[in-house]
Amino acid sequence: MALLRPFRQVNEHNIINLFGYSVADTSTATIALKGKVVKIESGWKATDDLVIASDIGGSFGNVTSPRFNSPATVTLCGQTDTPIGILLMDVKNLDENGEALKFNPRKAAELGAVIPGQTVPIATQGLFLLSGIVGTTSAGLKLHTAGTGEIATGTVSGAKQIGICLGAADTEGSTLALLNFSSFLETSVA
Amino acid sequence: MKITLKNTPEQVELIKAMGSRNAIVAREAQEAFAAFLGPVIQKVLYKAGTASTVYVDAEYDEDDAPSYPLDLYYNEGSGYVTVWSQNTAGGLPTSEVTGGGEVKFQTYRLDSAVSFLKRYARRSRLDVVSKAVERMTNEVLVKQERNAWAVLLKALATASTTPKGGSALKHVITSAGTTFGLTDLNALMTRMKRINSDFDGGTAAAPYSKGVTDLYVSPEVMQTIRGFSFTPLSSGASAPQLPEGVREEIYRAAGAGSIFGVNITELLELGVGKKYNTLFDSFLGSGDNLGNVAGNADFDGSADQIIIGIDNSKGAFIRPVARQAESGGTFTALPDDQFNNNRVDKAGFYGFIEEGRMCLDARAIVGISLVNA
Repeated sequence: MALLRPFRQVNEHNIINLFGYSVADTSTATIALKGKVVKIESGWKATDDLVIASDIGGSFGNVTSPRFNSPATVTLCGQTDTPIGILLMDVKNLDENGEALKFNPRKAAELGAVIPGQTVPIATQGLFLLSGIVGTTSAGLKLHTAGTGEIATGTVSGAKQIGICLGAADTEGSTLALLNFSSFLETSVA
Repeated sequence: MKITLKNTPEQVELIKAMGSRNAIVAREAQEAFAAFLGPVIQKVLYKAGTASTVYVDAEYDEDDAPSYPLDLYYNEGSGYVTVWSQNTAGGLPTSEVTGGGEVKFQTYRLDSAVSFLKRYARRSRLDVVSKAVERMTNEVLVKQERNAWAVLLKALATASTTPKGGSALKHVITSAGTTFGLTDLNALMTRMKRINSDFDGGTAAAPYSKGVTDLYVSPEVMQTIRGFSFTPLSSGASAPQLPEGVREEIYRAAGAGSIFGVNITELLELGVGKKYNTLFDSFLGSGDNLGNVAGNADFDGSADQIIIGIDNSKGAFIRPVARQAESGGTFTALPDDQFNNNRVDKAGFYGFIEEGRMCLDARAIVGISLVNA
């Protein structure tokens, strides 16, 4: 499972912060970890307004306190889908103690997490230390989409190249990778 | 809402300094400009918005996660605390009361940023700078307004109250005809009274139920109200007319500021096919039949229109807004440091506000579905 380690070199200009994460699942504790590859689920429009969803907490008669969700959303990228970048924050509903993060924004921020529907920063380019890449890594090897937001090495028909390895995996299983979701996409890995 | 920078020597110097090629001078000037911009925008957002007449601000410290406790007896009818009669002292029965509910809320952050060439600042083009800030403010306002009215309309669309001994009443009534008339407003006031009984279904004590204080209507409905001054309220030989004095008042004021003591406000976003009308339609469930007049079985945002009545004395609509730790304000304006670079020769500002919207008691809102036959 691709996981973004702390070491990274990324320019703020290469971060998209306009998309929320899909609201399909608002109960699972952890939905996606930082480092997952995402694709667009619902596109962004300047004229779109926030989505007024169901109540954020308990439901009381004649009380309205809704969730405000971003209309533009991303979700985990499939193997042959077109990716836009990797998540720089986790997407969680609950914290490590099972407490709902929607009621504790400070804790969510300190965990480096957002809840589904809130915008999540997505890096489209940069240097990242990633663990959990599927397959054996070595310097210069192509990295491609591998389904459910994973990153893999090797050749798979229809998969999109998203970067290259800058070295083999270290003893912790982490590999330094150069990712670029705009220039590598047209390169075949099959 | 217009924002105009005064053409004073100090102001001109400050704007010029923002365009300085000396990065330190430019940055300091931008910081100073942003510092007075925040409170100004905050005030403009409050005064220019229509939703701010309905919502009550509830400031909280940023990064905090407060909630609203509901009345301890919320949704509990009479008999919850038992009252009995005994002729002789003896026995120790009691109604043990436990805690009430708590409403949590979610906030959203609205961000905006503008930038312009430093040459405008160097040439003291106050109009360019003020226009940039003005547009940023107005864009934030548009988003704010939409979210505020969306919550209000959702509360209205889903609201239902069951008076004691009766069946559930939707808070939206259907108009008697296809044109707004005093009959509708009259019926609306009755509906507001009926849904605002006390916990026992009896007469509520003042000021709990003052009834409708404000009516938000489309310009077309206001046109009908202006028409009260020169047309009969209904057709026919014995058609009722408003008293001469009232008609004259409406005539002179080009419409009524209030009818039956209810303030009337025009909203361009209301009316057939308009933004808030469509929003209201989207919040109605498929089974939410608002009545059947002239074959109109259900509300259709492209044919019917909603008129909104609010009881503003209740303070049922809350805007939780984060108070920034440093400035103490709710709207924060800062220089955009991505332009803190001489080679790009640009200056910019960004601003944000974090707020939420909630309705704590939908008995403060009623509506008329003005049907189109």
